[in-house]
Amino acid sequence: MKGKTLWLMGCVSFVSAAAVVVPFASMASSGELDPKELMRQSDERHRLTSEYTEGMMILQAEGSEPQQRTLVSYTLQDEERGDRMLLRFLSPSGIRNTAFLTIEHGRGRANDQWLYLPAFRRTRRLGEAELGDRFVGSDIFFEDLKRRYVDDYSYTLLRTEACGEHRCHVIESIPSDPKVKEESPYSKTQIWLRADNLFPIRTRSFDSRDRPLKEMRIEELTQVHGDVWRADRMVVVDLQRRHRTVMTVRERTVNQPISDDLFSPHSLGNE
Amino acid sequence: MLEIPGSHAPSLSFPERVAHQVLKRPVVGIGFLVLTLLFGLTLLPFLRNESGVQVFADPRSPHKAVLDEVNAQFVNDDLLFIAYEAEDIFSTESLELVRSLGDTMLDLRAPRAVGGVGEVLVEDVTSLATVKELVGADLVFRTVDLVADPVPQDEESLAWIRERAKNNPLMAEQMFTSDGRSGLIIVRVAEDLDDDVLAYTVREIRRVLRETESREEMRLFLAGEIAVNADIARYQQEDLARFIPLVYLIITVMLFVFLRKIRGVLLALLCISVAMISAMGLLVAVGGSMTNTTVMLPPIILTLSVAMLVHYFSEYGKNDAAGRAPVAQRTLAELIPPVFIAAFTTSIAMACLAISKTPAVRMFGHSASLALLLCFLICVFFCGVTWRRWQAPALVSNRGLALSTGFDAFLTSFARLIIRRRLPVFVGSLVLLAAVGAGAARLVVDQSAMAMFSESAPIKKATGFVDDHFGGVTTLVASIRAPKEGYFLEPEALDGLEEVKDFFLNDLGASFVTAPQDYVKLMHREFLDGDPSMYRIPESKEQTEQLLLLNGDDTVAEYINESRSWVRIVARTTEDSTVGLASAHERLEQFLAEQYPSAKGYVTHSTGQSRLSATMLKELLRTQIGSLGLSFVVILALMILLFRSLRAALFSVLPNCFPILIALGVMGWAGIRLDAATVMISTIALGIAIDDTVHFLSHLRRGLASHGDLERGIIDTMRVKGPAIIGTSLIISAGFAVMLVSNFMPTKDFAIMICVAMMAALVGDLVLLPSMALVTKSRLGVRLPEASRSTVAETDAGSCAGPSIEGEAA
Repeated sequence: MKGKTLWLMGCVSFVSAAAVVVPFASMASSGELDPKELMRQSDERHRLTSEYTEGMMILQAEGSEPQQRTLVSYTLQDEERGDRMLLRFLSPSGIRNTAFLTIEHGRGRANDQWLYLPAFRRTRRLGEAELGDRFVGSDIFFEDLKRRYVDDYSYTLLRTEACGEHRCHVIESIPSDPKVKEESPYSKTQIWLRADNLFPIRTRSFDSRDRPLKEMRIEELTQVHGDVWRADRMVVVDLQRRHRTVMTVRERTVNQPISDDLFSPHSLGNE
Repeated sequence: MLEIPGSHAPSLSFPERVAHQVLKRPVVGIGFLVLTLLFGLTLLPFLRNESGVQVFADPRSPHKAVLDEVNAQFVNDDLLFIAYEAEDIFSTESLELVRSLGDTMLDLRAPRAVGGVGEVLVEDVTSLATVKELVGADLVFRTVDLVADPVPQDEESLAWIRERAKNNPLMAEQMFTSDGRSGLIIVRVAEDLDDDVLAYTVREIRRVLRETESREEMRLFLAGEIAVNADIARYQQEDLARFIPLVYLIITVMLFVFLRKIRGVLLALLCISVAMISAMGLLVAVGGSMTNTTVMLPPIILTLSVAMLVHYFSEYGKNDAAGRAPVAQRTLAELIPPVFIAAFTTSIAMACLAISKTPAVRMFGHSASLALLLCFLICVFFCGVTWRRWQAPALVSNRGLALSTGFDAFLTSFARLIIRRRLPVFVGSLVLLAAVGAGAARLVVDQSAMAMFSESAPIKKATGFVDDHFGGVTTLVASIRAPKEGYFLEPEALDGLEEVKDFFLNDLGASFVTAPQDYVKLMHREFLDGDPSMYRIPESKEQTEQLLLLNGDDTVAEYINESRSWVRIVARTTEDSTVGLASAHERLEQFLAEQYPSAKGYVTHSTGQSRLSATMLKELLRTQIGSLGLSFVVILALMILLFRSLRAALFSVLPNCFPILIALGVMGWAGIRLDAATVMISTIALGIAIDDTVHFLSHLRRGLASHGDLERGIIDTMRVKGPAIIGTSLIISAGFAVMLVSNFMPTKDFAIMICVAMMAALVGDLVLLPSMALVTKSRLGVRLPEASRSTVAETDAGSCAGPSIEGEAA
């Protein structure tokens, strides 16, 4: 069965994770919480057909002034054709209209990524980027933009604990698929999954030497459609680089039609 | 049993009363000595070892603040360089080995043994096996690892790696040589590691390299400032640890020659050891640690405690031979004032080091100053306790140099020679001072790390290899901040940075320079399908900004900040002399100030670890010169106060300057540089010289007060004080001469200069001082009462029972 966790990709594209359908209470009463099942349910629960967001990316190095970028994103989630995402920067003026397109082709197959630089009026295929590389200088790796399939990881339920006003399952995910294991910059990730809506509200990732690498916290969470939740404000901290990225959403439209033509490399130059 | 006269006799002077109490209450003396020893032994295990240079850095230095600020914004320049040599560095085996070495180093952790808690030691390793490569071709643009994981085996992939590396200006020549036989691994150590952990890191990396060399066909060379500093500290401390026992042995032999009584020698050694242990305990008590400066404390305490004891024992024997009962009390009473004055003045000289901004020097000043006073008390109580138990013949034999009649006759003749030839001797001394001292004008104030090591030292060979193949290990850093965000995206601004780069290469002789525009040019080339003609600065600000947005490699952030208003340019050079580096930094600072005027809002700095090193030595010298000048003034004031005579005090100036000027002159003529190690010599020389000058002057003044005859006073002083002064100088010189066989140049230089200073102090006190007194016909400020002049003339030389010297501190 195919599923995905979008706890970071969701935030970048201002989408969030998939839905949980199985009533959580019944699982808890059985006393057998299966972390993989929890992740699968989380992955499926928070899916949307389409999503449009306008928001801001704020980059800040320790002791430096923050740098703001505004951007819009268009996302189509389609199990058959694969998910597609277009990001376009609106400001600052120097990078206005720089666009980034990702087209996924399913589990085990490489994504296509395209980039348009308006100052050169050229589109370039990014090829298969190193998954540990930073996306547009932020604290988000290309790994975080990629669809993460539930079956590519093994999970351990570490504990269930209070997280603010809620209860959270703390689940550790370790890459199990050989290719994912080889390519992922993370040796493991600890995920705080809110028990009531199965939305990942905090993650802590470790590098290949098991040193803490990054921490993500959702600071504002909104129920956008049915059981589907989205993050309106997320902070990603690179613990080694002492740098952080704050993503905020100013406007969001969900499940409204978005033209397929938008997700074509040839249309990246259309402003 | 020792006979002790009543202490309440009205004729007893203050020193006599002190001596009486010391001898009368041995329990107090034993208690003091035991407590002092226990104090030292209890604190000694807590003595920390700070083996590097951090303790020499002024924490409030503006250069340090600038470097910290630049490092916080970008990345530290605490680098180690590992050069390697193999048949083909682009072979699978070689690339695998380099990658594995990098992984091993990244896995190093700080153990508890060096005060660590398992923290990471190496932050980053850059090598051909880890470096990122931008690839632009066929409408594709991506950042990839130059060498994939696992390392490719096929010829085609290896040829691609070689070709890409050769076409990348940030790698070619900087990371490998054009013949493909030598490569460079750059290791960035973690931030905020203390010296001990850094030294441990160097040791561990060396171990890893040794193990690799033993099983692989690869030669590896570890260089870089961190390794150099760790080695300097290690060599210096190893040398002193190795040589101090030998110095002890030589001093033992020399003491035997001087005293010819095993009991006397053993007791002297016991006293010296108690003084040394207590002094080290004191170092801990004042919050100090063992550094490259405080490592001088043991030899100083050794030197000065030997000097004090030799005076005590020598005079104890002489008074006993002369039948001047009560011998012990009389000797102690005679010696306590001059020994105290000597210890106090030397202590003041050391305390003057506390004006330094350098923590290590301040620490040394505090501990040495207190240790000398403690040393004085230990010697007084030790003599009190032992002399109560043993009479002089049990401790000093008349066959020893101290009481030798032959030596006595020689000294008498020597004194008479000086009296007869006073003018030529005095003029000769001055000529000697002028001729040798003139060498001080040739003195080079500089420190070259490599000059400290012998040719066979591994660090010297490694540094030589890196210098020859990769253009040096010393880094110079330019930091430029513009007043507005995005300034360094402008093509003109990037052109300006090209000028800075040219200045580094052409004017400062840098071997390699890495600047942000290098990355921009490379990205520009690769974005435009790898066209070599596109390796240039983009035409517009937007192009640069958008290219930088693509950067998937953290390395660029080491050279330009996020708001594109602050850049860092790093140059590598083979220069390692502090003078050369200081000059390079000053020129760079000036160039940057002209190119980027502060009036227009720019903030520029020439910085880097090399600037701290250059400044550190300058500060160390400034401190030394300042504290030496201050100690002269303070000591002169003390002499005036203690002798209550300006004339007597002035007489002490030239003999005290003599060993310092001679030592500096010899260094100048011999080409020995004035550096962090040798700069301490002047303080030690002053400390030693003052001791003997005070002893000589005190005795001579006492003689003059007693009989008023200068020539007789000089002969008597030469006979009474000469053996101790000569003995002290010979014992210490012979002891430290053993260090001349060291392979570590600062240790060798230190030993040479100690010997020179000792011999010069000897000449200053036994030749210059008496001849100067004779030529000037000075009475050294002694005013003799008319009535006593005729009666005291008959009094035995050196008696303190006669009329007191006017104003003599007691």
